[in-house]
Amino acid sequence: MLTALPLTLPSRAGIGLKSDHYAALLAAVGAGCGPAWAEVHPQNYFGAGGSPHRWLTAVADVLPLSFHSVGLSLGSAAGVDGHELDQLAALCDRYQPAQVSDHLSWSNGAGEYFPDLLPIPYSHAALAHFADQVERVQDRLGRAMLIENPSRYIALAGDDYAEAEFLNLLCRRAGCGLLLDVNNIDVSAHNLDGDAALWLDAVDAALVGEIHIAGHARKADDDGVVIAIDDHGSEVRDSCWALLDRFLDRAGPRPILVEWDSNVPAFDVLMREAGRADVALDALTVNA
Amino acid sequence: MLDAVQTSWAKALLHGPAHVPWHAFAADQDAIVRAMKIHANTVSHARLVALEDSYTRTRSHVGDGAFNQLSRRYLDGGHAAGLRHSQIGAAFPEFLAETAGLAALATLAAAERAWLSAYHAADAAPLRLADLAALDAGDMMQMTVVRHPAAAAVQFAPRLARSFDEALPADAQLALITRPAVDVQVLAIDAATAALLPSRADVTKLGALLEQAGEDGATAVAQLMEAGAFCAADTLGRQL
Repeated sequence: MLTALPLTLPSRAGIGLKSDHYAALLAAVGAGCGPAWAEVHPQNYFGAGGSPHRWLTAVADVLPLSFHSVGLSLGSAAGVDGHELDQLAALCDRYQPAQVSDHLSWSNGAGEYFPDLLPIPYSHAALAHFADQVERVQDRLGRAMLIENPSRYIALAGDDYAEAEFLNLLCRRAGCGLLLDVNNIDVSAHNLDGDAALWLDAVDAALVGEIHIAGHARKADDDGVVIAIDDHGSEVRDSCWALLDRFLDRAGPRPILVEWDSNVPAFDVLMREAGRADVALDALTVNA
Repeated sequence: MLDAVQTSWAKALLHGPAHVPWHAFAADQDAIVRAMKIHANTVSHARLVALEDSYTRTRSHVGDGAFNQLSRRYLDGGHAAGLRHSQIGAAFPEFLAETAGLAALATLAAAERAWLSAYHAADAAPLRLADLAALDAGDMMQMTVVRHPAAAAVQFAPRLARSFDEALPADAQLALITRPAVDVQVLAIDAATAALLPSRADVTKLGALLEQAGEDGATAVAQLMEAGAFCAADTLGRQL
């Protein structure tokens, strides 16, 4: 089991790298006004060659990379997706990212692949199973990874733990770290009538190797019930910024990623959000 | 337990509420249905977008509405069952080919699929005519070549060439797709030239290729070579 806490990205703001932004990002970094690091979904680079790798190589030459996987399906009853793991391992060998992460979820089952992050129960059995899968990935990659807390739309039966407690135990058992997605806490708290601040305060800050912030949509269904949808399609909400400040005040600086995956804005808009995250980090230094 | 619940989840996401594992949730039925709808919509939307992104020219040719209808028939008909998300459109050309009245459109989709494969193919230095300049005739004939990883020949139904690539002649029915460097390139070719492109498994001598091409075929081999269709290889077919 690997025990080193992965905290290797700079504790500054990074951005999710989009193909539309390759040139603008490199220009900004060249001009000294780019983000401190960039995150990609490694699945977008599983192709053998071509333009995506040329761009990623250029970015990797100037910025630390975080690989945020969406395909290992660690929570699947059948276990981690071996094909995805092999490809992720090859990509890690090629680019040596500063950080690797995936989600507390499952995506494959009954012979189908779902482009979604589906929830797992927070039971004793699920904890043991998930920890085994994380250890399998870490052994294959030869490094510790981070696991991200999910957005939830429904409470599952059979939970033995609260989500934060489950994640704390998982990280300690598997020797992984936590990718704290503050927006997901906000989404889940809204949908499940939870208390986001209590959730945040329950997490062991020492386990957190990276933070995600993002926007989400709130939509009323046919019955008028307002649901929070984790679509990463807008500016970070005030509620998310407030939760971020709350956590940073307790935990100190961490690498913060601005995610924006749908309705992707112009690069400048994304950088403005990253700039706001840097301001939050700078405030810690001023107040220290 | 986990396996049974996830199997039910999978069925519910694909086939609707009759398969929802109600006992797996700690909520009332309305809340469960609401949540399952969100997940089902996420899956469906991501799959439809993946098809749109993979078949931009086919979509443009038939229009957004018609493409959306075809995509839904493809997905709802189980033609993408068991395919990874990155491969969700792999069977789309075959689905179109088997759908009455869409055989022509299937050729456009198949060409797009080949273009996408070329875009993601392994990087490899193509063999160029200039590389042969330093060789004497004997060495040149003995040179081993393989198809470049990105190279493919595609065939269109009549009048679809321009829907694939506006630079093609309107009456083109065959095209060579290559990616000698960064960008994918498309070149109209004739049937005799297309026949000279080795299969992916073939390891051939340049001399044998020229012999296959016949008296007038050297120009066709040169055309393929300049477009980046070949790589030099060792005798086991490993690119040099």
